[in-house]
Amino acid sequence: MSQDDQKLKEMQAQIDALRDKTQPKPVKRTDDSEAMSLGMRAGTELVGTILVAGAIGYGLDQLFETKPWIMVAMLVLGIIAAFYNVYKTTMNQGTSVGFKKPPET
Amino acid sequence: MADPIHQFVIQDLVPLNIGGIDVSFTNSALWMVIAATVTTVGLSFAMRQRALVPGRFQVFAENMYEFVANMVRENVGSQGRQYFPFIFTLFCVVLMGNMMGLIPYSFTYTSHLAVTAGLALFIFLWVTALGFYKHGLHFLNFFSPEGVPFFLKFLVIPLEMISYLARPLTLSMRLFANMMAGHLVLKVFAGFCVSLMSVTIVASILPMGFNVIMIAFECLIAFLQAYVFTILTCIYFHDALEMH
Repeated sequence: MSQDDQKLKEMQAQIDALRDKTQPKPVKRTDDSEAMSLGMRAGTELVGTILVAGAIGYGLDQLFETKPWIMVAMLVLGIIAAFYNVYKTTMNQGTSVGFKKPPET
Repeated sequence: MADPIHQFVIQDLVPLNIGGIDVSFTNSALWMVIAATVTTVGLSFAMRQRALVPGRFQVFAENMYEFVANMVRENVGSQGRQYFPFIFTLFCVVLMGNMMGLIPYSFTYTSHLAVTAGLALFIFLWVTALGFYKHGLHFLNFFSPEGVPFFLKFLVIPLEMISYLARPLTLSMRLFANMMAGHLVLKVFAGFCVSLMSVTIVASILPMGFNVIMIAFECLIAFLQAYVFTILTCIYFHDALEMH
């Protein structure tokens, strides 16, 4: 039993060594550029999402001749999406899809 | 007073017209060529000795490489390595465009929506195609995050789709708006400086001093915008490769 444990440990050490070799650890940055980039993103995220949603709605309205209902609906969705994204950004979850638990630090 | 918008005017340097399409060599294109040349020649020159103990230029080149390499490693993961050349090139293009735009009489090609939107649309289309290529139609699951109650899906899926479609616009608008706004402010205050000169020279020191501070700030913005543009590209690649 203890021999097996020993073997497992050795194997794990080998795996760790190999992994360190192929995937060097990222160097942690200590400056504020990451935080500043997050702040920069929030503003455009807010405006851009609403603009795109409005534009899609306008296009669909032109297509189906239902002015202005799709645009209104899309604008509402766009505003929700914009704040949803800003919220996710401020909770440090990034703007990729999905809602995660706050990262443990 | 000088027209602050004038600096963004595209001028034809070598008029060219092929098949009814205007493909003139403009001042924008000229500065893109200069940026590409400076980057290529500069990095080759800096790395020509390949010294074990790097000199000043080599340290600069290595730092730049490592900066982007770390960014790719942290944000895309090991799968992202094959996209490193593209991401590094993108970083250089945007950084050089922003930085060289600060040289007086130069042209900032990143201050044009056409340029940044071109880059952003290219990235967007590539990443979407990559997602479908890697995951097939499963890529559509991307829009439906896990752990969302059934009824909320009707709300969340359209939200995610809108955010996804908004990506090229937000990506390009951020870079273009930041660069254009910065250059406008610089020009406006330089204009104040000239106008005040006719009153008293002493008064014109104030806007000049402000411009000195603004130039330093613009250097930070130029770097930061290149960083943001690149890191978001990394995140988009990560989304397409690993989903969630």
